[in-house]
Amino acid sequence: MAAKPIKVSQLTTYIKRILQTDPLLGNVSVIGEISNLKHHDSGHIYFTLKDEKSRINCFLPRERVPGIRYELDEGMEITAAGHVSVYEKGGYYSLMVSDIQVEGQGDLAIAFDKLKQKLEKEGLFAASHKKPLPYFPLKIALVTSQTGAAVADMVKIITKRNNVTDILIYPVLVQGPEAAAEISSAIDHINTDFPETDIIITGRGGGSAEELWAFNEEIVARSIYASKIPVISAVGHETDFTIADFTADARGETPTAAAVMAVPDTSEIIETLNYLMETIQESLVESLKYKEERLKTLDLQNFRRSINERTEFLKYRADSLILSNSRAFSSMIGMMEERKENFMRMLEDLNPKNIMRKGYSVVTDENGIMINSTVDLAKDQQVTLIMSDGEADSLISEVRRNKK
Amino acid sequence: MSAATKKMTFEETMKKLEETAENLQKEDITLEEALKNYEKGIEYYKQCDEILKKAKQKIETYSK
Repeated sequence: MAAKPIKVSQLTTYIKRILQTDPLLGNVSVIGEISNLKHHDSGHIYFTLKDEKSRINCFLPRERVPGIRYELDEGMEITAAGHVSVYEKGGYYSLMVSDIQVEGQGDLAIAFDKLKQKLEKEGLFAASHKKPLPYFPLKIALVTSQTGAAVADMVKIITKRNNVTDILIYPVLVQGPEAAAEISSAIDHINTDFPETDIIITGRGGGSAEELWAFNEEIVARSIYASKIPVISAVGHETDFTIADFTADARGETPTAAAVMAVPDTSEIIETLNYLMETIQESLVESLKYKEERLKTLDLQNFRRSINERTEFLKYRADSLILSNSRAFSSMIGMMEERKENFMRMLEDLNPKNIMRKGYSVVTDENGIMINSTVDLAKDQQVTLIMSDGEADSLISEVRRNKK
Repeated sequence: MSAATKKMTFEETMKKLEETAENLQKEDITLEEALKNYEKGIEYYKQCDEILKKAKQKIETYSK
């Protein structure tokens, strides 16, 4: 017989302690194929990693999900980093995932297609959301690596074509695990802190699928979509299509192409402007000449006669206008006067002296304040009666109030 | 947005300039209209020219 029996929970707690104190299981990377992938409503992701012989349950907690650079799918081979943990209630162990790496070309393609489908369904690529590029931007921001060839190419092209547009170089990492977050926050930051920017170009020169991956990450697409400033995405070569390209307002096949697309050629503009100005000058001279010719051919006598006739007619019209207006004016004055008299009469009716003349009088106390209620009167009180033609001091001998 | 878009964008101003040029080429334009278009045209030209001759192009690198 073995040692003294213990409870299930005691055994599980013991197993948990053993597993959790093991240095290897506390920080492990596991390669395997994803199956039973479930996105729970709570935001947590559950899946199983398997190889030909074995499988392990994996748990990707909600707060880790935004940091994962790849959209997951069934059958994808991934490397999951994390630690082994025991779920005591269920009595099983699982891998608590903190990061995921995808390396195989085929697996990256799966992640790419999965994210592309998801964002397309959400409307992030909709043509109706794409903003037109301003024809003549006064300021362009370049979100790219400061040391790459792309930034030098773009600055060269922009300054060669255009000597007006300002350039803001916003250096970011363009590859590696931190790149997507940097690109995304750069785009957000330019929108809030440099709102005068007319166009943002984000991109990098050519590289492997892994090197270009930052531009396939969801957070970059989200920031491009949210940007109020139009964004041109320019990643790698003509054949490289990224999620950023689909989301951006315009795609430059290469950084150089994006720079050409972004700014107009100022010397061409000056040429056009000068051509237009010449046309305007010439056309004016032309049309003046034409008018002059026409004037010469006019019969001056005839012209003067018609002018005279016209003047007569205008004079007649002016006179009749004045006449009819003065009539209207005087009738209006009559009406105003009548209204004024009515108003005066109304005021007169309201004059208290006129009311008193009809036999009413006013009672005031010794301070001259009008009394209009028996409540303010008492026996032997001194009051004054005011009539239209004089006053009389009086003494109250009795107060009789009306019953309510 | 930029100074150019506050009033009229560069593109809009250029389009207006093109329109005045077209108007002036019409045969039946009145003298008054011709002069008006001419004046407008010069104004649009000046606006474009102002942008093209603005202060030196700046190239700066953002640092956190």
